[in-house]
Amino acid sequence: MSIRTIISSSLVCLAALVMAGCGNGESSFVPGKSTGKLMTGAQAQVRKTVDTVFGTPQNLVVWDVLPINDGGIRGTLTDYGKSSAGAATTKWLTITLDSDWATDSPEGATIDFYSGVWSQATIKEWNPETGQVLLTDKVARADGSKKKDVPQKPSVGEKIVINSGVVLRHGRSLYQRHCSHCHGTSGDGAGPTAEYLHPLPRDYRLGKFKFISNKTNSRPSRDDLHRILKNGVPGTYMPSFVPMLKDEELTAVIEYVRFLSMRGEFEEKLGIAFTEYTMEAYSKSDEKKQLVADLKSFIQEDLKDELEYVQEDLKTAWTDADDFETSGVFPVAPRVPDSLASRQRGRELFVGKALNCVNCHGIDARGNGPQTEDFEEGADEPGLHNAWGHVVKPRNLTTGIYRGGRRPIDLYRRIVAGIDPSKMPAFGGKMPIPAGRLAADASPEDRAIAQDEQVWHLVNYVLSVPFEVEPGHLPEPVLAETDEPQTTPEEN
Amino acid sequence: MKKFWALFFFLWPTVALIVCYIAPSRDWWFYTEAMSPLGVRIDNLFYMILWIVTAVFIGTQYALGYVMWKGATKSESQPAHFSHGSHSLELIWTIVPAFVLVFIALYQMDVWRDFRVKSSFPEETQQDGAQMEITARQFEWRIRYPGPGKQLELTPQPDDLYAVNEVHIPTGRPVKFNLRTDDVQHAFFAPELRIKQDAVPGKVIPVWVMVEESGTYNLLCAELCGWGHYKMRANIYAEPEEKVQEYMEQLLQDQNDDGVSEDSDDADDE
Ligand code: HEC
Ligand code: HEC
Ligand SMILES: [Cu+2]
Repeated sequence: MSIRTIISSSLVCLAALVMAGCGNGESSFVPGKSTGKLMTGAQAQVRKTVDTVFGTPQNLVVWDVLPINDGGIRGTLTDYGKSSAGAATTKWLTITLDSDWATDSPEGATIDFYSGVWSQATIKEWNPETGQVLLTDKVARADGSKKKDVPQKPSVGEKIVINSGVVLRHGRSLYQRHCSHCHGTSGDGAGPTAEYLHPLPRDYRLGKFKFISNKTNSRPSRDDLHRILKNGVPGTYMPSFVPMLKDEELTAVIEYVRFLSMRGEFEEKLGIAFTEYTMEAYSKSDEKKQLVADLKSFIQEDLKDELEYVQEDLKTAWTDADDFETSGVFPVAPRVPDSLASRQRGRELFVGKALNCVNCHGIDARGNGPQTEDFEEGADEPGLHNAWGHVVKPRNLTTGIYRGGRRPIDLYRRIVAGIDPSKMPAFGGKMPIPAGRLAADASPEDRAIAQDEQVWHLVNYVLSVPFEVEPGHLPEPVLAETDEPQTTPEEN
Repeated sequence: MKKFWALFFFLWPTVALIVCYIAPSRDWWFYTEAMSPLGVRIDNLFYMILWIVTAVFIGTQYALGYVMWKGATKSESQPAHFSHGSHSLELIWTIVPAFVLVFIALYQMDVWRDFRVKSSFPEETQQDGAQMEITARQFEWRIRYPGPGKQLELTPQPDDLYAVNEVHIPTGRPVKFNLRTDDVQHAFFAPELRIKQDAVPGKVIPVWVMVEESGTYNLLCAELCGWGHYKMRANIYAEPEEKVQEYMEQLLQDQNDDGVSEDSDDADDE
């Protein structure tokens, strides 16, 4: 072979490779860290279960019990219809829907039937009044198989879903385009650009989020995620996605983030169920055969219960998150008006032993308190470690950048509920009340109000830190400033 | 065959001209109407240059076509004639374009001055100072407005108001803002308003704009600034003074939101 043929054929190959992209073009979910530590049999079982429940990026599955709004409209098959010629046909159906289907173009929508397994058909016409549906073709098994034991024709009374998964699929494609290079295809926060960022993009798989309006350790509400996407996280590489993404696109991508987060959590929790069957346990074990047999019987007998338990856990956590009344953090007392006295009280609380914010944030609030130099148990570098095992610096409060938002209510929530994944404690209910503020027999309501007042003092102080003349030396209140003659700004 | 090639090569500039001529009216491609008075003046400059360029294009293409046609129709028996330069011809095609360029440079000077030179900004902007600070950042636009009744200071103030990717400006009067960047170089590009201004690290660059008609205009980044360059998109809302005031009040209210007070919109926000 001459040099020329080698060069030209390798160029052709290169071009083919470039056009085909890397690999086979299919993305996949990577298994979580703790799954990787399990014994081979346990690992395979976890991965199989997770894949059954959540699918692959190409073929998403929505587990009905989880509060994921995949965009599908649910209902029941109430009757088989007759064609216009009067002949009975499986192409005409009557359905009743559980919720409104607001559409101008029903044609092309998918309809899924559940009769033991899912089967699918495409809608041609739909009459919203009568609920009559004309299909383009016969109902086909979604997985294309022709097993005998599955009824080929769905029977009356069965569940149907129209447009199953449209929102989630839309969310996935938006996510792949706009988020996955940072947050990763699996939502593990390890996309290709992630390694250049600090702080690292969020790994959703623990279900832990920092800037939420809910109680400590809750999941974020959809509104929280919406706010993050609207405002970004200032001071980090998480940018704002409005107005680039329109409202329905935000809804879709938020749903997909929730899906990924639930998927990650599911895998994590399932892994915990298998804690006795790790590689480590296997290598240490004297009775390896027994362990393998135990694993087998565990999978056969106990896994079902475990699954139910995990499912129930996830369902409650993520459903509650959207119920602001039960999960939300909100004050009972309005913000104490900003004043020098209030800021001074805030400063007192900030340095005081009871809350000891300075232990982390430092005496001059620059985020360099003594705790940032301590070694945590088992850590090989000093400092606080967040839930993902990375060192996290307490915020330098002199910059005036508030990642979770700068509204008083945002800071209130940060202080009351803490930033759990970053180990900033929740201070709700822990405020020291000055002597004489409360009578000995004060009602719980009064106590709550007094608590909130202290939090607001802290908020007023935190908001004033960037404008301190020198650390700890508080400036005159803003109110006093307005009487002074205005100086004209000189730009450039 | 020679004639064919001569015509063939002459055809393409002709097609190009026709396509360019009909493109705007067929909506194939042309920019939209300028929405600011300065933009209209910039467009006029553009049109002037377009006319000059068109004239030059037609002239040169016609000359080329003429030469090709002459060559194609000449008899083969005639020997070719080689010449080595013509002093006067070279002088002409140096001096004429030089004059044209100098003319353009001088002619556009006052538009340039009005757009870029601070002392020639409209009087209102001189008096009022900058209305807001727009900071480009990978990959978003962050806006800082002065607190109610205040003037914008160069450094953040306690009662400043903040927004992301949403600029509100009043219509019918010139508005000045300060442009800066938090990280790398970006460019403030409002195509409908005909503004394109680089944001340079370490510099505070004043820019002014006047919009006559209410509307939502695009704000894009026109400097390749990293992976997310494509998504540095914001909206400029030009609206009557009262609407802007309403917006500022809303912003003030949102920013003072404590989740309890009467005017707190937390209930429908959360
Ligand atoms: C340039 C990288 C980058 C891109 C692109 C990106 N993010 Fe992020 N994102 C981050 C970083 C970094 C953080 C972590 C901020 C922190 O820890 O303070 C984050 C945090 C988050 C959080 C968690 C907020 C919280 O309260 O804990 C969510 C939710 C999120 N991103 C969603 C998205 C979505 C959805 C997209 C795509 C539309 C996206 N991100 C695109 C970098 C990115
Ligand atoms: C155990 C250490 C620790 C203590 C104690 C602590 N913090 Fe923090 N704080 C942090 C860390 C870490 C962060 C940064 C979290 C992150 O971005 O991941 C933070 C962030 C913050 C922020 C920034 C929130 C934002 O939106 O950007 C504020 C405000 C704050 N802390 C106030 C306080 C106050 C007030 C106290 C005392 C009542 C306090 N902190 C006590 C560790 C601590
Ligand atoms: Cu940019």
